[in-house]
Amino acid sequence: MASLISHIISGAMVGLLYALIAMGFVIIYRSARVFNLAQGEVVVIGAFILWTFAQSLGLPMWLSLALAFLASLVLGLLIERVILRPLVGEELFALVMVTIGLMVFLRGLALVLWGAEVHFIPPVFSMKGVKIGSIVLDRGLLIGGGITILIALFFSWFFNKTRLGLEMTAVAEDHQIALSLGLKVKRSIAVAWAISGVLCTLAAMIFLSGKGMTFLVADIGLAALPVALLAGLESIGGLILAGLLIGISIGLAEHFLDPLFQGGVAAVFPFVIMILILLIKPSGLFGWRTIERI
Amino acid sequence: MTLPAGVYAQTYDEDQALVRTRPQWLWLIAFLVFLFVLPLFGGGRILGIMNVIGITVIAVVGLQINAGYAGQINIGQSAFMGVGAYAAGAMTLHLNLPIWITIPAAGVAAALFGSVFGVAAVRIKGFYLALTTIAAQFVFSFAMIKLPKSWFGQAEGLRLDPVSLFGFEFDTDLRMYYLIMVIAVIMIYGAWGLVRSRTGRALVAVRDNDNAAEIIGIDVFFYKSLSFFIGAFYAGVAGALWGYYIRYIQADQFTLWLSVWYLGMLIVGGMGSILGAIIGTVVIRILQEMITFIGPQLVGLQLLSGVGGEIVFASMNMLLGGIIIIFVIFEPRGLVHRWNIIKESYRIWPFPH
Amino acid sequence: MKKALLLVMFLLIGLSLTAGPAAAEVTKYKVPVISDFSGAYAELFKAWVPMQKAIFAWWNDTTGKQIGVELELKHYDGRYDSTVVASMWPGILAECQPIIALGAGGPDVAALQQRLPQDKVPVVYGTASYGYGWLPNQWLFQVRPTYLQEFMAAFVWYTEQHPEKKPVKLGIMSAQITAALDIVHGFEKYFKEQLEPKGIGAIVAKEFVDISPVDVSSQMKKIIDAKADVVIGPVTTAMSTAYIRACQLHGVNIPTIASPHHTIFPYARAMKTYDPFEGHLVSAAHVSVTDTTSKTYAFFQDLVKNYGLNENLWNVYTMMALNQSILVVRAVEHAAKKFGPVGLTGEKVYEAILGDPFTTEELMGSLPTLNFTKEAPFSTTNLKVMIETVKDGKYVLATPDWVPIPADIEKW
Repeated sequence: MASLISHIISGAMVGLLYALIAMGFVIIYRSARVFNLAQGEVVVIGAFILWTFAQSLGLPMWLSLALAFLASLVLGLLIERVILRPLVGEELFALVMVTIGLMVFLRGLALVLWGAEVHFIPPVFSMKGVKIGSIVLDRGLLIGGGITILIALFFSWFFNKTRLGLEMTAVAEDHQIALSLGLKVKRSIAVAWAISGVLCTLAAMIFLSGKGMTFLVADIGLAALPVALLAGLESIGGLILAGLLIGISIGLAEHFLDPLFQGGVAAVFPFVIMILILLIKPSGLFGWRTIERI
Repeated sequence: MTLPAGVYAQTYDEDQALVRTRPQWLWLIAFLVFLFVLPLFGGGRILGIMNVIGITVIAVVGLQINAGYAGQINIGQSAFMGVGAYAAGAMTLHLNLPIWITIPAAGVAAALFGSVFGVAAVRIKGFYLALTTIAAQFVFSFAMIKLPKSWFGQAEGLRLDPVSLFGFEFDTDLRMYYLIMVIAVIMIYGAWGLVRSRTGRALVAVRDNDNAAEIIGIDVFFYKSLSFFIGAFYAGVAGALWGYYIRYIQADQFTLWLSVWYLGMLIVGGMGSILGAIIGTVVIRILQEMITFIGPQLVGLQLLSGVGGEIVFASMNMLLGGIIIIFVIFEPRGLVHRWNIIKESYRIWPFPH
Repeated sequence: MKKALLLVMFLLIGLSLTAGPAAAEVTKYKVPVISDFSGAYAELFKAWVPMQKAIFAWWNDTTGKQIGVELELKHYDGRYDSTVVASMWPGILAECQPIIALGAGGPDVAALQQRLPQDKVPVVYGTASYGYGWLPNQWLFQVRPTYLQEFMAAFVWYTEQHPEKKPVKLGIMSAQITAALDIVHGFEKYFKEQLEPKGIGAIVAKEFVDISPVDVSSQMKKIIDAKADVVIGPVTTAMSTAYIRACQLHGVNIPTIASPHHTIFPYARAMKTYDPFEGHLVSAAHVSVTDTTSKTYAFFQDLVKNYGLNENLWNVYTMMALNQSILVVRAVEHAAKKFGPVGLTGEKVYEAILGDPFTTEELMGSLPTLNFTKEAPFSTTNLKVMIETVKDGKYVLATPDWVPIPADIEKW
C-alpha cells in the first residue's frame, strides 16, 4: 500500500516537472503559433549554463541561478530574433522545420562548448528526503512541484487578465489582425521566447539539482509533449491538471502494469491516455476550440 | 504552368498526362538510363548512398501523399516503416514467402497500422494529430519488444539471410540497388498517377477545407483514413526493403528522429508535390553524407592543432542544423518552388518572370 | 547571397566527392574506426580516440616497421545510428578497402553483422558482448565475454565473501533497453538453473524504470522492502545517478554490480567523489586501472613518454580503447606473419584471428590469453575477471587475483 502511494506521489511530482517544461512549449505556442521542437535542447543548454556558473566558476548558487536565468532569457530572445523573425507569416511547417534545424544546431553547440562528459550540477535544494510515514520523497522535486503550480497560476492570471498577456493572446490568434489593431507583434513573440527560455532553465534547476547530467537530458522535452497536448496547446492553468493526471497515471502504470508487462509501459502510457482523451476532446482538456467556418 | 508554344491537348487524357512533349520524354528516359548505369561508374560509396536514398524516397513520397496532399501531418512514418520491416522479416523467416508477396504484404500490414491513426485523424486535427502520430512511435517500440519472441524476436530483433527472387539472389549492394530502384520507380509512378486522379483531388480538397469537402459530398472520413493507409503502405514497402538491405531488424532503428527528418525532407523539398519529396530527400541525404565524409577529411587535415576530432564532428552537427535553418529561411516554400520558378523563367525568356 | 550559398554548397560537394582514397602503397593499410561523436557514446570516444591513435603510432613505429606494414586510422562519425552506419559502410569499403575495422557499439553491430561475411572484413569491439550476439560464425570480434558472465563472476564471488547471507538476494532495476534486458534474462536463467537450486542466490525484486529516469525512489522502496542484498541493472550514467539518489533518499546503500564504465567511474568523474559507491562492485575481463604495477601500466607510461599520449588518460574508458586497439594491431601482425605483409585482405586477417591465440604478453598484460573460435565472437576459454570496488572512499581492487567466471553459464 505504501509503495502504491509512493508511486502516486512521485508520479505526480514528475508530472509537474513535465508540466513546467510543457509550459515553455505552450507559452510560445500561445503567442507565436510556433511549436518549438527544440525545447529539450534549450533545457540542456540552460543546465549547462547553470553548470558553468555554479560548478565551473564556483559562484554562489543564488548568483549562478540569477545569471543563468538572465542568460537563458537572452538565449530565447536571440533565437527569436535570428531564426524566427525572418519567418513571420510563413507556413506552419516551415516554422516547425526551423525548430528542427535549431535542435540539431543546439545539440552540436552543446557538444562543442561543453563536451560529452557527465557534468555535475551542485544541489540547489537540500539533498535530504522528505519523509511521510514510510515514504521518502525527493525534496527538490517536491519544492519544484510547488513552484510549478505557483508559476502556472501566475501565468494563467497574466495571460487572461493583464494587458500584455491579452496582447500576446491576440497576437497568437492572428498576426495580421493584431498588427492592424496596433499591437506590437514582434514584442509579444520576443517576450514569449524569453519567458520560455527562463522556464527551461528553471526546469533544469529542479530536475538536475545535485545530479549529473549529459546532453542526453534533452529527451525530457519529448516526455513533456503529452502533457502539453493533454492540457490543450493554449491552456496554461490546465497544465497543472494535465501534469498531475499524466504523472499519476505513470505512477499507477509503474506499480500495476510494469510487472505484468516486464516494464516499459510507463513510457507508452502517457501517450495512450493522451490519445484517448483527445478522441473525446479534440483540442485537449482546456485548449481553445476553434469554430471552423467555410 | 505554361507549356512551350505549339503544345496543346486535344483530349482529356493528353491534358492530364505527365509527359507532354518529346524533349520531356527524352529527358525522362535519359534520367532512367542514368540511374541504372550509375553504379557502374559510381563506385561503392555512391552505391551505398543511393541505396539508402532509394529506400528513403519511397517512404518520403508516401509521407508527401499523406501530409502534403491530404494535409494530415504524420510524425510516425518511421514507425510505419518499422512495421513493414518486421512484417516482411517475419514472413520471410517464419513463413518462407517469396519477396514478391512479402513486400506488398508488408506494405499492407503497415497500412493497416497506419489507418488506425487515420481514423483518429477525423476527430483530431492539426498539431494535435501530428503529436498523436508521435504516439505511433512509442506504441510501435513497445509492441515490438513485448510481442512473443517467436514472432518478432523481441529486443533482439530479426536476422535475415539475403533474399532472392526466382533464384536471383540479392546479396550484394549492386543487386539490392537494382531491386530498390525498380521498386522506387514503380511506387513513384504510382504516386504521380494517384495525385492526378479523382482520389488525389479529393485528398487536396480535404486538405484545403474539410468542412467544405464534406458538404460537396466527399467522404472525409474515408479519404482521411485512405491518406494514412496509402502513406503507411509506402512506408511499409520502404521498411521491407530496408529489412532486406540491412538484414538485421531491430525496433531501435526506427526512431522518432527519423520521422522528424522525413518531415524535414518534405519541407525542404516543398510540400504538396511529389517532385518536392524526391528533391528534398536527395538534398538532405547528400548534406548528411557530405557531413559524414568531410568530417574525417578535416580531422585528417589537422586544421587547428589542439582542436580534437570530436570538436570537429560536433561542429558538423552545428553545420547541418545551420544549413537546414538557412534553407528554410531563404526558401520556405521548398526547393521545388525555386525549381518551378527556374523552369518558368526559362520558358518565358526573354520576358522577365 | 543565395548565389554565394550555392557556390559554397557546390564547393563542399566537390570537396567531399574528390576526397577519395590516397594512392595506396603496397604496405599501407587503412583501418576505419566507426565512431560516435554526436550520440550516446560521444563521451567514450573523447577518451578513446587519443588512445587509439597512440597505440597505432606505437605499433607502426616498432613492430610495423619490422614486418613492413603501416596502419592508418580513419575515424567516421556513425552518430550511434544504424541508418547512418548502413549508408556509410559501402563508402568506407570503397574508400579504405579495409582489412580490419574498429567498431563502436549496438547500432553498428545491427547495421553490419549480417553483411560482414559477404564484405569479408573483421570488426573488433572494445566493449563486452551481449547474449544475443553470442552466435557462431561471426566476423565481429569482442575482446571481452558477455556482460552477464562478468557480472555473474562478481556475484558468485560476493556470495563466497558473504556465506552468511546465503541465499544472497538479488534485486533487479532495469530499463527497457536491449542491453539491460539481455543481462536481466541471462541472470534469470542462470539463477533458475544453477543458483537457486543450490541455495546460493535468489531474485527477490524486479523493478522497471525509465531509460532516463527522473526519480526511482518508489522502485527503490520495493527493492528495499524485499531486502535485496545486491542490485543489478543500472547500466547507464542516468540510471546510476537516479539509483544513488534514491539510495540517499532512503538512507540505504545497496551495492550494485556493473561494468566499470557504467557506474562508478563516470559518476565519480563528475561528482569528484567515490563515496556514494562505497561497497559497490564493478567487474571486467581485463586488468584493473587501479593496478599501477601491471605491465599494462608500464606500457601506458611508454605511450605517454614517446607517443604523445596525455598522462591523464589512464581510466576505465581508455582501457576499453587500449584493449580494442591492441587486439587489432596484433591481429594484423599475426596475419602479416602468416601471409606476408603484402596483399593482406580481410579474409586473411580473419583466418589469422581464428588461427593462433593472442597471449597475454602480446596484449601488453591487459587481457587474459584470447583464443577465438567460430563458436562465439569472444574467446570462450580462459574466462576470468578483475573485480574493483570502492573502499574507504578509494577506488581499489576488491581482490588482487583474477576471479574465474562460472563455467556453467550457457547461452540464454
